[in-house]
Amino acid sequence: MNTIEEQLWNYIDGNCTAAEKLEIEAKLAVNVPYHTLYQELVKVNEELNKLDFEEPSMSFTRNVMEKVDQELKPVALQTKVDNRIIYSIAAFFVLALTGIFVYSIATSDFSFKFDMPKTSFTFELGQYINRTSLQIFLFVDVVIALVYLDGLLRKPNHTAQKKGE
Amino acid sequence: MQSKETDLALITAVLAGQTARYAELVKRHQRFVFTLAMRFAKNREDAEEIAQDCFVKAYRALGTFKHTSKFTTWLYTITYTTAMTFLRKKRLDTSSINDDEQVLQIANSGTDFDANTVERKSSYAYLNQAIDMLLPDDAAIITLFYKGEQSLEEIGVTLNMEANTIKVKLHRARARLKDKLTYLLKDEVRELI
Repeated sequence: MNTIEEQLWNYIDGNCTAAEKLEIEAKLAVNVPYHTLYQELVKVNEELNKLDFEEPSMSFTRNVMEKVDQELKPVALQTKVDNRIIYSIAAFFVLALTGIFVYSIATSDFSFKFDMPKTSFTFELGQYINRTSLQIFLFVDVVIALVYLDGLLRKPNHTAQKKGE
Repeated sequence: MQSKETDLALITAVLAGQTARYAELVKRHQRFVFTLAMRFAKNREDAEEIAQDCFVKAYRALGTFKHTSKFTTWLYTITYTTAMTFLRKKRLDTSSINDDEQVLQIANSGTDFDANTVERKSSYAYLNQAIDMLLPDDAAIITLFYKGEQSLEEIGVTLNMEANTIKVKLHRARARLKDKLTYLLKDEVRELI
């Protein structure tokens, strides 16, 4: 899209700012090609303003009204949803919640007594170190050692392959 | 403003049970709705079907019309969605005016569009043909802007697009139309200079 054309269309449509308007008017006064383009666009705009409507058939309204007559009568949405129903539901919930709140307060015992829970911070290591845990520990160690050994044994092969290239 | 008030008065009357008064609304807006439908359908039969369908849908939904926007904006939105649904059903092949092949066909056609015929035709008829060659959205934007008295924002609401997108599309559509009209109007433009 030509930026100059866009500017001129904005000017014609009255969508440019006062500063832009002054700038365009100054250009129009001195720049002949700019002025020529402007006149072309004005002419196009005039032609578009002269556009007329298409006419539907003579029976158009009748056809529409025949179809409309088969439809249910439209009703304003305000009358479909009665505000009183909404207010009644809201009132029911407000009353129910208030009732529950009042009942819970009325039946509550407000006497307060707090006992600190007894906790033991002693840690007996002996119960965790047993035969099974030692076996698991050793098994994991052996697996790690095998993985490491595998890595060591593979390294010379890789080096040899690279040299062979 | 007067028209807007009268539209609202008619809607109120219809909703109050005077359904026959809907005919007045139809008569008032049928030409524009039909013109807009023509931008999509490209032939009168289909456009008439779209326009009728649009008015029936508008009647069904009249109760949901919120008076916060213009009735015409609401009606044109229904027209647009109805037309788009129709196009999807029909799977019409639409092409832009920029389509070189199409332009070539127009230039070489020995029937309707040869140079002598075009000169004889009124600029109005030629302009309408040029608009018909635009993409449906672009043609609708041109129609809504020039004949629908709709602002860019209102057109945006109708076509479910941003106002800036509408502005760009409008510029593009007018640039395309200018190319087609330059040939026809070049003498007049020279006279103006």
